[in-house]
Amino acid sequence: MLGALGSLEWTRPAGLLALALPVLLLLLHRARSRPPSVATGTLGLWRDLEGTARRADRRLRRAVPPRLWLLCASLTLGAAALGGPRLPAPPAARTWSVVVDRSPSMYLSSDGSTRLALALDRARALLEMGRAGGDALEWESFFGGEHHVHAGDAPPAAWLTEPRAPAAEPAWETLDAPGRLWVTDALPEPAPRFAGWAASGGEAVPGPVGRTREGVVVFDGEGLTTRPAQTAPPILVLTGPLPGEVTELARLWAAERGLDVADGPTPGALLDLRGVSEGPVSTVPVGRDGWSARAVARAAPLADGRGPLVPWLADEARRVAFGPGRVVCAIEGLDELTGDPAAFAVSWAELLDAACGPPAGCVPTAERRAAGTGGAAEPAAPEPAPIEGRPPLPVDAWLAVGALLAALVALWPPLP
Amino acid sequence: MTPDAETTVPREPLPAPGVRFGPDFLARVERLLVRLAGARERREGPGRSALSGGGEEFVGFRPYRPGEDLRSVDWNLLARLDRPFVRVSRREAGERWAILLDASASMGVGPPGKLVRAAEVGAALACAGRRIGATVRLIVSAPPDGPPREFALRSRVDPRTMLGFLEGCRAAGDAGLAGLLAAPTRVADAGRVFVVGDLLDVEFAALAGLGRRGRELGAVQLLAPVEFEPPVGAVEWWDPEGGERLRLRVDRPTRGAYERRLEERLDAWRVPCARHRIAYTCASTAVDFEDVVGALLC
Repeated sequence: MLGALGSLEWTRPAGLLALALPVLLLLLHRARSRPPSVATGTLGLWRDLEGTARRADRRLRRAVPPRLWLLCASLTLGAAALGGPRLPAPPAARTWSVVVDRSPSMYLSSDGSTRLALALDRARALLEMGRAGGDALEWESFFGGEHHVHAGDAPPAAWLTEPRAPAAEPAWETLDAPGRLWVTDALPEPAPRFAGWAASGGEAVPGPVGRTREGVVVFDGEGLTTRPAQTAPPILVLTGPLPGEVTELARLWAAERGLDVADGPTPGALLDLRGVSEGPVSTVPVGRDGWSARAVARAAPLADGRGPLVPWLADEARRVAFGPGRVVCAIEGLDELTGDPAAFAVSWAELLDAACGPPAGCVPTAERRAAGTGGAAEPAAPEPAPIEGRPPLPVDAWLAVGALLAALVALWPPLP
Repeated sequence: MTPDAETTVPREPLPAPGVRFGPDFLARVERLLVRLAGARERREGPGRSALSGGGEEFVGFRPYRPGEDLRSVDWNLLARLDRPFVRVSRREAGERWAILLDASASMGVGPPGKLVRAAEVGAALACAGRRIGATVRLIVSAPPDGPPREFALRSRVDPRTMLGFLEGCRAAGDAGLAGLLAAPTRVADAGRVFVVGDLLDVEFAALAGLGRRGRELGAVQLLAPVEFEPPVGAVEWWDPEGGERLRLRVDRPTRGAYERRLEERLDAWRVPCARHRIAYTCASTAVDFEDVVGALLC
């Protein structure tokens, strides 16, 4: 409470000059409380009576009557009210955002730890320097087409383990803002203007990067080599009604990626390409990536038992959607396919690649490459946002009321 | 010395240090003298006056002045010369009066100021002496920086000159009547001697020392109202002459004790004056000078 009083701001400091009034009042009282000085030619008589007369009691003379104290208190409160006291505005809330790169490279081992762990350590050091008490902290990641935000002093524990499906690096250029801190392994290009960054760096991490029909492709730190596969190939499962063009293309894509194809449910399959057999059928024009066709199609669901699905081909309804490890296709047939057939093939192959990701244990070459020495840079401070809450106390009004009450008590009943 | 008492040179101005006569002062004196003459005649009968010296050896005539007792007019001379003259006794013709005025600092106490009232009484007495042809000397106690001052009022002197002399006096210093009474040669030739002041710094014996055969003495004791009826409550008394201060809380019993002591002090003048047939009066400065002079001379 006293601390709050000490931090009061005065909007009309000239009004504080009125604080001289109670002081003047007390001085006036003191001057008036002096006994009157009376000249006399009979001082000798008074001196003879000194023993019987009550001596002037200095303490009594100087005593300030309670009414005067109250009046002084009233004047003091009134003067303080004139000064326009105001409690300082609560500190504006600042929010620091840490954007966590959850791409596969962040989970590669580097010096006994992951690049993510190293980058987070550097990020925490920066935050300790830049954050003030009361600043909020939130963690962001982009995964599976969704933006995840977590408030707290640490990222969710799940973010520290590699996701089942690989995540792409965030679109850094859209995240360059004051108060943002990028947590990654290598400083993206171009460097941020406002955001800070904490990069783990790290040497190249050799290991498998993919699988072909010839075997497992391995990155040795400099180049790629193919080694015979030691494990059974992953499986692409085709189920439900699918257009023939899509089925054929999926088989070719699987053969190129070294995947076996199964026509029924198979546990542990790398990718499940599933047709939709329920719902009304309609013929609609579809197309993307340079191809178009008329499709006999149903509506693809927004999600399945494994989570939400990202639309890939849609008109007024979703026709094809995908998620990690599965593609849901609500098209039964395609007619009047126009455009470059290669564009059709590349378009669908990219869909299957995005859905299945690399086989287990495989990390793309780009992710395995060296990330440099890393480093860190502090972000620009975030813009404070006013905290919404109760309006500030009208201190001057309360003081004025106090002054009025004190004056009433001091002057009531009226002095004769 | 008590803790609350301190002896310092007074820095506060005196309440009434100067003298200023009203514009009608001389007219008031004239009316007073007429009233006194009538009062004496009623009390003493014709042919005798305490002031005129009636009944003593005839030495001559002087012109009649308005207001004088018509019985003193010499009617034979009036019939012959067609101008009024009055008979003058030897005592009146050669009489000298001395009026001693206290102008010490304590006379500045008031209001009304003691010095103002004393000057009025002294001036009125001087006019009374001049009325009967006496030479009146006003002797004012010494100021701090010089000897006592004197003014002689003779029949040819304009009384307004005397008023100017008195208006030049100020209450100051501590040389009061005691100093004047200690030098009896100053009034050696005076047939009447009046002392006017608060008589607080002088004892009756000093006045009695001036007594001799054929000389009449008079004393006027003037005190300010605040000295007769002091206020109740906390008061810081201070002595204008010594500068001593005394802070007291005066309650009614204390004031009663003071008034008794003051009465004793006044009795120390009143009783011996009556015993020695010395005219004496004590008055508050709130009382007009006419009443004071009247009480003294009647």
